[in-house]
Amino acid sequence: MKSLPNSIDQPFANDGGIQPPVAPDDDPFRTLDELMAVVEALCPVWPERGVFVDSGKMLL
Amino acid sequence: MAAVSGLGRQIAEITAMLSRAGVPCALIGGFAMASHNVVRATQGVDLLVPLERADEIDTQLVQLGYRCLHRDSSAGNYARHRERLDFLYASRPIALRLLKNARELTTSLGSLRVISAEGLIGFKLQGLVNDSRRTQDLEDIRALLRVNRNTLDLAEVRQYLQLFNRESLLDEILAQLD
Repeated sequence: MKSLPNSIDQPFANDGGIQPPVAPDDDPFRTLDELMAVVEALCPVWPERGVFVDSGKMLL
Repeated sequence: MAAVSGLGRQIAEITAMLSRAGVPCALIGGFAMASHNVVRATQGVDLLVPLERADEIDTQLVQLGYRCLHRDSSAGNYARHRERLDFLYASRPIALRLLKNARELTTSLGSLRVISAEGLIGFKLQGLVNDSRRTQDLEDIRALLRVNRNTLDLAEVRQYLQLFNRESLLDEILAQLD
């Protein structure tokens, strides 16, 4: 028995595994807000987000 | 329309607080990416604010229940339960100009000010140069260039990359897009 072929979809992972297209007339903030509502409903365990690192190259 | 996500409510709360206090701010993280047509999941809120208002912001955040994880003259990191809030403090001419020129948008989350796409690329590169673990920043730079190539001021973008001696990165990404 053969298994299903591997998906070529991007993995849903870390800080941006999916990038839904945005229709030109849509409010992208609403799109992101709705996306995040779905993400939060999945109760993800986010990777630890470190604190700021300054390597002496803060030039902007 | 009210926010439907916790992150959306968080950003509405923070930007309203800063607005009441008269503190200019601009989105520089995932929400800024969204305004430049790259919508991706994001873990927290990132804002550019003037360094001279950092003490005042800190006081307000403590009242909202945030605790400070780190703070110096360049950045501040705050957390509240599982929520994360990060600030980049503008003190140099380029950051102050980008903050001043941030575009105000009327959105489903309220009135929000957003940094330009060119400036956002500059800040993403600065983050990557200072912390090479921030690989998402490189992906964001690629996505911003890919999606906004026809509208970006590439001369301005090039100036930012030259500042960090990474001009070749721009040519490399643009060549991949051709």
